[in-house]
Amino acid sequence: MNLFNFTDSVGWLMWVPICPLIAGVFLALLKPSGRVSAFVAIAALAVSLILSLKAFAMTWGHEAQIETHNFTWMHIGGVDLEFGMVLNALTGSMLAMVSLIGLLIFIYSWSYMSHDDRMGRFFCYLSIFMVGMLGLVVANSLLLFFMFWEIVGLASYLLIGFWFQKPSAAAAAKKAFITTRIGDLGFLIGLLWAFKATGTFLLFDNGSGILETTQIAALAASENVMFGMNTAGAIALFLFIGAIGKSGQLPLHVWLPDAMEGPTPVSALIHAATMVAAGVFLVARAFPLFIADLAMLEVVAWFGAFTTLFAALVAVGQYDIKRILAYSTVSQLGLMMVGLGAGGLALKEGGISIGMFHLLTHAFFKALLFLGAGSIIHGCNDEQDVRLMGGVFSKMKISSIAYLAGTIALCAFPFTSGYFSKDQILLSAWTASGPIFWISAIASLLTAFYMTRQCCYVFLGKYRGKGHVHESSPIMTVPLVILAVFAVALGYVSEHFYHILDYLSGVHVHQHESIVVIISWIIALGGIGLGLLVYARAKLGIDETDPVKKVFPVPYRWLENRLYADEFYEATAFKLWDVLAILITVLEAIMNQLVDFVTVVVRNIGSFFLNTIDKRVIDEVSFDGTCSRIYNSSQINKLIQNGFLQGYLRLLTGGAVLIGILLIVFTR
Amino acid sequence: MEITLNHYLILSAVLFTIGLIGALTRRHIIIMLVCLEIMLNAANLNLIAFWHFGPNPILLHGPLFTLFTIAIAATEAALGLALVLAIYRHFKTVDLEQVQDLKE
Amino acid sequence: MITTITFIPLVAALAIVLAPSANRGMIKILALVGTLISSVLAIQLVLHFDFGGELQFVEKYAWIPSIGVDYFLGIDGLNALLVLLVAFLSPIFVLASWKVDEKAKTYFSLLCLQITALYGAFTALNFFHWFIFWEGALVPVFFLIKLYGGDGRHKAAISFFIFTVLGSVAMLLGVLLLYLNTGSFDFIELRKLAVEGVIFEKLGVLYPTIFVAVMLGLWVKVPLFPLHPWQAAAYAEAPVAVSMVLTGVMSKMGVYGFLRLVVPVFPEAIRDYSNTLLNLTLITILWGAFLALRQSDIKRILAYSSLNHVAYCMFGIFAVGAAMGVDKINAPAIAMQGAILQMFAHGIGASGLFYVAGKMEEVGGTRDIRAFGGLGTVMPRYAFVFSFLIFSSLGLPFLAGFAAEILIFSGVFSIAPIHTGFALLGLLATAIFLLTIIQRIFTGKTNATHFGATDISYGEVLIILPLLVLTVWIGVAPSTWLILSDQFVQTLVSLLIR
Repeated sequence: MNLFNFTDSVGWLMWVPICPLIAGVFLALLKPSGRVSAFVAIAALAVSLILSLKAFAMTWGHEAQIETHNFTWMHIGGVDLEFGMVLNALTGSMLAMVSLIGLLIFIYSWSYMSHDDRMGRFFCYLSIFMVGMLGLVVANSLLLFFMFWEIVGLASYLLIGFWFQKPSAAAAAKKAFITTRIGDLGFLIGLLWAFKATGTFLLFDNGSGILETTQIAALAASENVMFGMNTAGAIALFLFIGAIGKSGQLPLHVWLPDAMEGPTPVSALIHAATMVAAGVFLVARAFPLFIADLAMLEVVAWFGAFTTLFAALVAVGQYDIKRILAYSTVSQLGLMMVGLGAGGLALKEGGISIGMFHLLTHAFFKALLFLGAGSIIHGCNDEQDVRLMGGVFSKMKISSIAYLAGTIALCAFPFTSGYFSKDQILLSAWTASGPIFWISAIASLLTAFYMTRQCCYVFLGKYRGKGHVHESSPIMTVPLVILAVFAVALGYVSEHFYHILDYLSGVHVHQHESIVVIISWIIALGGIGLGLLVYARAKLGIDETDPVKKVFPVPYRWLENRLYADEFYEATAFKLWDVLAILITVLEAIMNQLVDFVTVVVRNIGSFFLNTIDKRVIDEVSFDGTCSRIYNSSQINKLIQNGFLQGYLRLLTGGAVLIGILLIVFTR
Repeated sequence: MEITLNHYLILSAVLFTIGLIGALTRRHIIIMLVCLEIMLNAANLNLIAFWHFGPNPILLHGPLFTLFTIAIAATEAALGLALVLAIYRHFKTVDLEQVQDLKE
Repeated sequence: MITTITFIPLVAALAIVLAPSANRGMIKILALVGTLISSVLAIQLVLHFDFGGELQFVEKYAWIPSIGVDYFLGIDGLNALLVLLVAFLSPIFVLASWKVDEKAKTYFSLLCLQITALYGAFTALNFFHWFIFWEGALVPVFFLIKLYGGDGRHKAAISFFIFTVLGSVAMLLGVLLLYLNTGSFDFIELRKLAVEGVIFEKLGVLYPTIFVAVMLGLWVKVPLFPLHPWQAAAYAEAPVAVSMVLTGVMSKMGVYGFLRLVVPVFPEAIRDYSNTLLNLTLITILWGAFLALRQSDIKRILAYSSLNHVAYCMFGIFAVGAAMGVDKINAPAIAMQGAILQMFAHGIGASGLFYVAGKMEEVGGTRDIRAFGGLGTVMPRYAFVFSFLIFSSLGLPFLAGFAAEILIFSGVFSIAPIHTGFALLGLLATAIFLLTIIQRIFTGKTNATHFGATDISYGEVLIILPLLVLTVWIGVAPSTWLILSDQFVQTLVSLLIR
């Protein structure tokens, strides 16, 4: 591997993650002051951004082209385990998005974290995160992808728990790591299975990589491996479990709202724009596997649909500004899955475009919303409850306008970026499956509704919190403005955003259905209108009942309690897990008792040998007994040994005579 | 009456018995020594007698042995008497009844 | 050369015995110098190891020729890495016990003796004197636990001793029967015989009995379910350095024994019973992981985690049996390579963890993690080191644990996918209890009792630093280490699989 070859191969892509790595290691080892740390991290990421833009430029217009650079990680058992980097449209677009948003958020954090004395540590963690995120984007090996994926998880853990003195932050960090790890195990099985079936981890390898036609054909040939799916589908299913964990899809979404314990820039970068999108990116990256089994695409679409509706519902019942955004993120990620699944069903490879396009637009407006929320929270003296805000618009004009720009993009207001990308998803769903379309449509309506609700809470009326509201520093607002421009305009930069769609998947995507366009207009405008109708004039505040709650008190309480997902897990999965642990602990205790028993038995056998066999039999009976018997017998001998010389002589003579007589008698 | 080997042997046996009984019964240590000498001489008599009546009296085997024995007896008497003196000095007696240190 | 390496610590032990007992500094220096010289020589030796070659640095002299006992030492792909492991760890063992002052003379001489036994057990190739070292490694540990351990040390030492001795006796009888039937104590010779099928033929009806008997001794040492209950108590009660010895090296002796004495000699049994063996190993993996979930004693958690991690090695090894006659060489070779790397990686990582856990006891005066809280604020360096090792242990990529485990899983999944799937649950449980440790000890509000706690000194960081560097090295570039055993594993696996 030639790291310094910047011309004819894509080996230089390695530098995209390496730059933040250098920064991260530098910060970890030398521990410079906060300002220096921020500068180093931002500078390193800026280099990455330049390289990323180069990658983007190289792929733009060459969408079908896939360039790889592979090298051997280890040679083992006659097999090369290879790693590599791949450059195609997915890589290029994702790199550009991640490093651009990353850079903006880094700059924002410089100001946001300036009062924190562990700012150096913060930028160190952020750099580690960027290493993982950029690394998994360029990875051309499922294994390498997984490794960076885990690094991203680590960074997320560290950053959620950044204020580890808060027990809730520490618990949320642990919860995030473990919940995503459940998904990661699925990912792991998927990649192991892929390795078993193909003998390689490489995604693209001159025709023999996992995602290339020969291998896919071979994988798809085996029928009914699991649940009636072929091998490709089975592998895809397990990979999708990984995506579910990372992207907060339905059964494993519980960690994402809790992850809002982290500093707000972290929520923006990791838990809105990039890391949580990594699951979607994984599905997009491994899309050939998903297409190889249509059942898998339906699975993806349905999971996405349920998630998007579920999270949108829950978001309506939340009061914490960041939690609302978190559930909104979950919902939008679900929508991306719908895009991938339904898009795949409708357009085959074109599905990548549908999902990824929404991923990219969402990244901008959701990062914007989070940063805006951070700015507002800052302005409102670290208050996060929307009921204690209000009237912010007049005090924080820049932040508020930026926030509203993000909101209309999220609501898919016509001709904003969100409108174009969501429209594509609804179009695909329309073609693919009616129920999924309607579920997504309702979720979109709810999205517009709850965002309007939130804005009403935050911006309208009078300020209900403590202290007074103040605008944030320019270092924070400049990134907001840049992002706002992207959020509104990204879908509209080119006259025909279809170019972007074509670019993303490398196939020509064009779908049009007037009725869907009309429906999506109705959804966006209807949702906003409904929200304004309900909330614009209502009395809001911590002591007031939410207007919706007045009408539907019971269902609304369910929503406030997040539909009891956490409680559900606590009552089922946690219990089961605990019961298993207790069971094994009890069994172990029994075994330990057995061990003690064995020990006691052995010791008793030992003392038996000591007391009975050794002392009694050997000592008393055998040894001492013999001794005393010998001693006693000497009492008789003693009589002869009287020391009287003539006595001896007499005995001698008697003996001689006896011997003589015996000789005479017996020799006859 | 011709004196045959048997007569000598009987005489020797009588002498030996006298010596033996003396050695076993008398308590005076010097008497014991004398009795020992008697027994030795009984053996000497046997040697001479067997030589005399033996198949080849020309070879001087018998007297040779006897002379050896007499020499040994002399040394023994000397040693014995020296021991007697030592015993007397130690125990102030030569009565064997009272010399029982071997017991210990 | 190997002889020199092996016996220098013994010489140091003798020197310590002769040294004045009041002069503790001298005793410690002697122990350190002795182990360091051995380490340097051993590393030097392994640097000259020819990766492609067979047995090297052989020393073979007739010892008791009439019963086929040779003094036979050598290094091949299997034990090169383990010799390195001992070389890296042994000075750290000594440094980790630097604070032992009471009865220092006995302590350090026993420790040096222990290290000699460890080198010997990994390099001896004739059963006779291998067994001497094998048992020799047991005795110092017994005394070290019994004399220097925690509150429950007597019981722990006794049950440790009873278990291992019973196992060893079974093994000894088994090997004697094997000898009576084959006429050889020589590991290399036995392997050759086994490959030719002679052993299976000659043992006849006795074959399964002898197999089980030989395996028992190793089964206890590793340990695997259900012969593991001695382990947690022994690990928990032993003094820090001895816990490090136990988990870092002694448990590897069992695994090594399997690769030297069981897998090559009884391939038929490994194949025939592979399902049972894999099941038991799987139970061990889950057993250890789930047990650790409900412990609060840090050293017990680590002990159970060790049970779990070492079982992964056995998982990789037994999978070879399941692959015999079924698979190509690739998957089992990868699994076995993973097992060998896991021995090394776990040896490094677990020793480090026990070291930092010992530090915890020093700070808080207890091993109960519930008594701690918020240490991260007052001891940031310590928190960093501890978390680093924990993340390596729970299999974070680019650190040691992951590299080994992914190899094991890649290999085993091709052979026994269902087993692997269940084994992954162990990974989940590992993550849970290890992160719980971090959560309990380092996060939250700082306990009032810890306000005065001083962070670990730079000296202590230096002791642990080699382990951290190795952890990263193994994780990022595992081929540096794997290349040592590559040839060996390929040869062995291709012989076994045929």
